[in-house]
Amino acid sequence: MAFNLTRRKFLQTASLAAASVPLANVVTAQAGVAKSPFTPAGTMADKTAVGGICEMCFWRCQLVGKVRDNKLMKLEGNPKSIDNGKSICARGNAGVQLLYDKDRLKYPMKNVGKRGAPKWKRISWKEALDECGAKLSATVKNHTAKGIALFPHGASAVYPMQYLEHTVGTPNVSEASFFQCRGVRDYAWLTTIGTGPGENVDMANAKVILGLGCHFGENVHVSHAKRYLKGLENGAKLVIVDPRFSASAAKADIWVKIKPGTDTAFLLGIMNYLVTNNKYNADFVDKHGVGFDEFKDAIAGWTLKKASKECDVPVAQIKEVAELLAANAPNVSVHPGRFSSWYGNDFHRGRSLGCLAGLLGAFGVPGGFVKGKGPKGIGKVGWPAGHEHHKALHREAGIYKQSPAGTPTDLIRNCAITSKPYPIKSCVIWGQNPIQTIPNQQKTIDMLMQMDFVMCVDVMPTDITMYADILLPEASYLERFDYIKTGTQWDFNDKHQQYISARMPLIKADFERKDQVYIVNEIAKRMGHEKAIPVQSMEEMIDKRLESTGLSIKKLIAEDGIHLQPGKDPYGVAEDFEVQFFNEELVEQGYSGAPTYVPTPEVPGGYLRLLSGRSPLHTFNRTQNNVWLHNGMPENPVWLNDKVAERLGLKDGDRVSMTNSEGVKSETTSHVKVTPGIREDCVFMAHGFGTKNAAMTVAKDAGIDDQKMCTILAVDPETGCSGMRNNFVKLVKA
Amino acid sequence: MSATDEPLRLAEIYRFLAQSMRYPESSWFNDDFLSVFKELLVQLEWHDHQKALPAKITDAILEDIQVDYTRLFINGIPHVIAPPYASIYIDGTLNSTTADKTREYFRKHGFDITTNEFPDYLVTELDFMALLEDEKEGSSEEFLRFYFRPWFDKFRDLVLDEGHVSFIKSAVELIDFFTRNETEADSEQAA
Repeated sequence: MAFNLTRRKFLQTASLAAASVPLANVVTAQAGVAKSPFTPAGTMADKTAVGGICEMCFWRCQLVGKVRDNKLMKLEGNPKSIDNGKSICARGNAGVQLLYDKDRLKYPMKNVGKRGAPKWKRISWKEALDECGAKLSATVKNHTAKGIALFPHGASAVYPMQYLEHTVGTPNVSEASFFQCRGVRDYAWLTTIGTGPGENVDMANAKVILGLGCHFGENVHVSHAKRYLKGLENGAKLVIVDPRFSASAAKADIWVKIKPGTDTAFLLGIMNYLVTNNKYNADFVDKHGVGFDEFKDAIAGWTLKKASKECDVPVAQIKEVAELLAANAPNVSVHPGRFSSWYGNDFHRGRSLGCLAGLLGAFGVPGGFVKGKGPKGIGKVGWPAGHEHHKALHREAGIYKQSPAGTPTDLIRNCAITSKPYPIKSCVIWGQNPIQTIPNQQKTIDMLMQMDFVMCVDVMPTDITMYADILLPEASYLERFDYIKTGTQWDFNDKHQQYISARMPLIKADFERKDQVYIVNEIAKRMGHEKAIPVQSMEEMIDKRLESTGLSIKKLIAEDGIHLQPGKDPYGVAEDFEVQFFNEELVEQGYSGAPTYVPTPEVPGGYLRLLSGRSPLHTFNRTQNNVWLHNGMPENPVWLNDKVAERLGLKDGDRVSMTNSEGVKSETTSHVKVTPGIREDCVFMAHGFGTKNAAMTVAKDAGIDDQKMCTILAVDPETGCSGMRNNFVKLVKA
Repeated sequence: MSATDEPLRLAEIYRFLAQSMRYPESSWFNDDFLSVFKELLVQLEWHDHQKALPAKITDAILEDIQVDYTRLFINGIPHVIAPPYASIYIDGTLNSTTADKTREYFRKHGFDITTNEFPDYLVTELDFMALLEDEKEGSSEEFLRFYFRPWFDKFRDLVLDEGHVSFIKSAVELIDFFTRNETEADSEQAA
């Protein structure tokens, strides 16, 4: 190298004459900068972009974005919202960081290395889509549509899910939001009151709120939290049943420190007490109850003493709760919960909660279970049915007869691994991270490794993306049109109103990120389904769906992103409303017609039951790489009972790893939170930490991945939903 | 300009280096490009760099460079090594205050970005400096000193430490050479 040569000197003397072509000829790209009219600093005024709908969690609050010079500076609640109002949570605020996360996926990529140890190469959208289309087509040709599995999550996954299910024809679709979350709750309530419950309890106007494993305050969903807090403000008594002194337990009038897994026994004890002591709402039960006598007989053995023994809760406390509920009926919020994939006996807990609400007559009354009367007329636009129709695996096998839509996850996974009853050779993963949603990670990896083709669509390089052959970067919820949100004002005591809003981009998508309609339509064209394409853009989809309401994107923008209209009084119960205390259909399907307690496995000696849940700063793994949220909660402390800590020689703040009862070890550590606020037989930690993929530079190895510790898979026999709290761990001082 | 003895202009060099740092695709990353690139190294007497480059661009060589480019600058395992954005090195995140200030500087000088890229993207900054040099030789000095160099050293070190492919490392070293802060004294000493 020439010593001390400067560029000035070099330019004076050098020549590239020996090159095969002139230098200027090999510069082909257009410059990224060009002459522009003079723009004085400070003249780019802030603009407010309307129509945002959050998706940092599934609650989907209504947003506006403060935009300066085509850059999103800040997110706020839409002041016109009658749902979340001006408020958004910490995660909602941190959406700005997701948008500009340096680790976000930017371009389509092909894995030229191995699954699990990828070597990425940026490719063009054309090449990526050509490959996806060709590989999926080959799978259908060789194995029929059943050869494809789909693991979707989130609003953007609806369009691809409809395409693959309806038009292509695969039944192998499994949503974590059902099978590892709320599906069991929904179907338990469906078989009890004929509808899924959502979180439709009128807590704002309740006299008592009963939360069983509900972590209000640790799960922050703004309008839901408003209802809860308003209820407390108004003097509602709060009963929290939880092995842990959660944020809700800290506000409770009664904290029931229940033994994990025995919730149904607790509810049966209360219900039997109410029935045998005539403290239930007999008028309501007479009018709306079905199978009450069979129900009464079925639960007759559940004395307070028996429940007390099973649940490790004093008789007096169970009685106190029962009396409190009876004294304040019907204005009681029996909260249905949300995440319900606990112990593999969860269907009956859900049924019990519905039946308890029935005994209290807590339907259609202030404080009870009340569904708001939202706007009607939002149209449906979707993919048409194709030529292939296949029964789902559980339908073929005649099991899990109360399964939510789709196929129970473990059946798909086992089928893929064994090729029995048929091969599954292509996997589409859209917005879900099955490594951290499905128990037994090794089996998920085994499933992926035997595939001919794996494609992932996501905004972040989550753990599952390490197994993709083709990885596609999706526009985030802040950069695309999609979800239509409707509803009512959160407090039914306020003026009755309805709202209609649609997600609109607050900012354009950077790099080469694309939305779901573009991606799916292009794949569909390559799979021979061009004529079936229902819309050319998400804007077209929204306008079509809004058409019968007289609205459009343009009109919604003119109304600041939210259309408001007069609402209806939601209170009251339809004449034909029924509470199925005993459900004959379940009996015909081979299940128990009445809520029934099924004991869970006991904790093996020397181990602790692993419980997991929410944190207010994270939505599981989805937010782990968000630096604002990470700084607020960088890892998930392990809650450990103080007496147990003393026996184990652990102090507050000590670092620990975990080993489960099947010998699986955590790859990372976290710190211990020593507290009397948890039972001696369990530990608790927030779910979603301990990311393995080093491409998530903030989240990598931060905290312990609780899902890795879940290798014992409990499956709810009615629904096929996972139970994830029958896993047991030892703590090892790091 | 044809392959003549006309003196090289810094604007051309910056434009060429910007091209070198774009995602390598067969549409431009070909034997002609390689020939010019090598000749530049020869003129600098960077013979080791020149020898480390392939004789011809084959599909396999192109893919190796694409894979390393993706790993270094886009999304990599174990993590993206050297994101080519000033904000990352100065503010710790993408499209932050540094990007805003960079764009303000563009505008102050009668320019603005025309692509979907952030203003503080390495390639965009090189393009901008080329335009400044087109207007008046030496007019990129202020931008170079106050906007470009404050982050480039960290970027360069990461690429040189962790890059696998000679072409990318040489391109970054060329950028380093042609954007160094130079005083008149430096030039005189060199002369």
